[in-house]
Amino acid sequence: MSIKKVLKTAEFQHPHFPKYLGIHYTPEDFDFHSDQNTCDWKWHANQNAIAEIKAKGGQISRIDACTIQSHQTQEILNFIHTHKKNHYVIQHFSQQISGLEVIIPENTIIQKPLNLNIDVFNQLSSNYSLLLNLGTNSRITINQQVIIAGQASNASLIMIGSQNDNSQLKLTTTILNHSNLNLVLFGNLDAARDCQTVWSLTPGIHGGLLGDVAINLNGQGSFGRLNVLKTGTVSDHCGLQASVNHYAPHTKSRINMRGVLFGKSKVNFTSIGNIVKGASGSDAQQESRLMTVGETTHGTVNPVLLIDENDVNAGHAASVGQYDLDELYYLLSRGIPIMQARKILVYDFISPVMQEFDKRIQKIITAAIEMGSGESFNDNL
Amino acid sequence: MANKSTSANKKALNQERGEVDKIRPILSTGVGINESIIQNISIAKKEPKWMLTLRLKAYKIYLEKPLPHFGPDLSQIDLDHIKYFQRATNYVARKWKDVPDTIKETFERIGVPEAERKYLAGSAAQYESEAVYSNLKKDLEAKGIIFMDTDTALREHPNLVRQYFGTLVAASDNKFSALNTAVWSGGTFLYVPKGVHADVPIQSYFRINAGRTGQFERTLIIVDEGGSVNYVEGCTAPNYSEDSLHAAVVEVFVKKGGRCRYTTIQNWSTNVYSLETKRAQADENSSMEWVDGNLGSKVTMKYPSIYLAGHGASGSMLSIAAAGSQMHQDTGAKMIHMAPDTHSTIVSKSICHDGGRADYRGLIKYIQQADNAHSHVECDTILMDDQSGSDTFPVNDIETSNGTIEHEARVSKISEEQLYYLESRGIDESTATQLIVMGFLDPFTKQLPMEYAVELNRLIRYQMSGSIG
Repeated sequence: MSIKKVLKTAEFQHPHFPKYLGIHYTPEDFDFHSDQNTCDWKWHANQNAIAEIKAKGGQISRIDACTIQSHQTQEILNFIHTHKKNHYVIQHFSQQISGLEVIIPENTIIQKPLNLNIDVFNQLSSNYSLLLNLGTNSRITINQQVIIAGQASNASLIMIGSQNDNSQLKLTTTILNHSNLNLVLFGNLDAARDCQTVWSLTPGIHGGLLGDVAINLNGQGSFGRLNVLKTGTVSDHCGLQASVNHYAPHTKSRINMRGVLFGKSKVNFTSIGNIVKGASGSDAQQESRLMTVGETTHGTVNPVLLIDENDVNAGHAASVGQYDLDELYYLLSRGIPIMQARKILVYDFISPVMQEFDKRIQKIITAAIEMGSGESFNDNL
Repeated sequence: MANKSTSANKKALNQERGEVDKIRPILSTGVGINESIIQNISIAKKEPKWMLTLRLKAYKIYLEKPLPHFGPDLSQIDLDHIKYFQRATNYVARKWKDVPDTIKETFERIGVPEAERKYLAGSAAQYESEAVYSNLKKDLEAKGIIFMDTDTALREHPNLVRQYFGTLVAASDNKFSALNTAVWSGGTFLYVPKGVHADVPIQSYFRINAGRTGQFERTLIIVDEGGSVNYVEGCTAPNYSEDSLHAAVVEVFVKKGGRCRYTTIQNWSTNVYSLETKRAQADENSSMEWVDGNLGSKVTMKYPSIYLAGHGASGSMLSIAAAGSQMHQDTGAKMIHMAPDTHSTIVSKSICHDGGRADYRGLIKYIQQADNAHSHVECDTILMDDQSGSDTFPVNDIETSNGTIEHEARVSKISEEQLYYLESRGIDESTATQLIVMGFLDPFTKQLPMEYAVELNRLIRYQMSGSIG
């Protein structure tokens, strides 16, 4: 049965807007106002990586309603089921399927990082999906950059990844968009036995964002790391939930979230470390920190632990606050101008997550911080 | 050896807590609740009219409000089959010798007079929904401290009660605060005048006795400017087969420069639903501290809050929860920073064993006016076995840019390293585990008055006898 038909069954009628602890949003803001997907997009990537993937039997291919294959349908349906009656997910897949699939076969190590660029020009609300499939014993680094241009007020992005035993994935996702856009972002990466997953995310430089991303450690001995870096400027608002689910014994996870709030921006971070019964010997640690730079910012951090197993180590640390005034004083006493000193403290604050991104992305983040500093620090002076 | 002492301990504790005491209440409104029952309660208490109006208004709110949508399952509470009011004696005893003998026996088993003999100041013990014994030491009275049950306070100091009653916890706050406002009886009223310091802790002992008795005490504490008090409240209940409900409301007002510490140890039997609303307001440069121990009950939902309303106010919450078999402790704290330079601390420690659940649910909020606020939160949990679980739901909501929050939490089992160390010193496993648990709780116990610390240690040892020997 096609995805659209499944979504019309009784099970998916009356969907609801998802609720996240400590994240406040206006459901209508992220709701599509049009059923028509006019998503016009293209992708390009570095040729050497494409060549290497193809030579080793992998593939990167477009997915659309005509070419969709049964395994893709199945993965999408699984995703829809895990998100139960989530209005936005159902809305996303009720439209024409549109996206990319990256498949890396088993025992394949891709040396060159794949720099995947997706350029979306949308006049009406649009959706884009990425499917990722990594074979046993394989390894790849993907730097995905999504740039959304056009006049549309809404966009929806879904990422579905699955990793087979002993595979390693390093994924960075950067989203750039204009300030009037409200973006929903959902992602699940499923890891089997002995996998390593590192997912670094710097979402929506401007506008509104509602996101829910998760790494599921389904197999014994897997490790997942989720990094999030958000720079809020002007009146951006961002609600993001990042979770790692430990479904198997001896799994280990780290969540590291950093947000810098300039201007009048609003950032809600919720992080969840979930260890189910039976996942003994697991280790889940999270760190969520917000630095409030602008004068009228609003930040929440909500680090949640759901623990149903006793032989575990779980913890979280969270903080919200301005830069340390003692540190600022020290830098000033060394003759560093105040603007420069503040920026040093901001960069120091984000450095644990910043280093996860490649140089190209770091430049984009730096530009956002320079812009934010311009609007916030001048006010303070 | 360990087993033998365990069973002896259990027996001793059972003896101490006692069976149901055979007391026939003088006045009871019977099972259930409706408007005329509320009117009867109010008439029986000879209350002013405004209180009856308040009760009836609250009852309407209670009927409309849904059960909380979060936390433990409350669907098992049968609110229609609870005795909402009964009076054990027809007078409030002023002197110990006037207290009926059977009630005295119970108190003697719990240890109220003993505690008093030692160094506690006054004692207003609550028995079956109303205080039957309240005694103030002369020096406190001389200082102008008012310490009585809330019913008496309503008669003797109606204006004071009216000024504060329900202003911090409105009936409309939640279903159970509405219920409490509608049918409240008993509870403690404590007023500390300006600049007066109560040097010794003031204690009250609560106890639910008959099965199916809701206990809806209403406590009101006012610490006037520059005053200080340490109020200690202990709860214990014998075991029953029917579910009982305890829905208390506590309001604490700490005026400019005042200081209040409210210490509670709660040890309900495992069929009691304890659904409490505790809230305090701290004015300029004042300090409010909750010290809260939750040991028993079937379900506890309790999130003591502090509104840090005045410049430089500080608030602290120090709590422990021990959840054993068939217990669900859903506790936490809320700190609402509403003024500049306010400061709050939350330290929460939980132990889960034999399939118990202890969840932490907390909120730190800085509103825009709360410049330079500072808050520190620590939640630690030990899971003793693979049947137990714990969830942590903290929300930190900051509307200022120059405040700071630090939050840490940890969930783990008993440290194997510590166990190994102690065992290598020749201590057997169960004793070693016990030492580690007591050490874990030490920051809490050392804040308690001495005999409470002793009692707490004994209760934890008793409750966890299967787990820690």
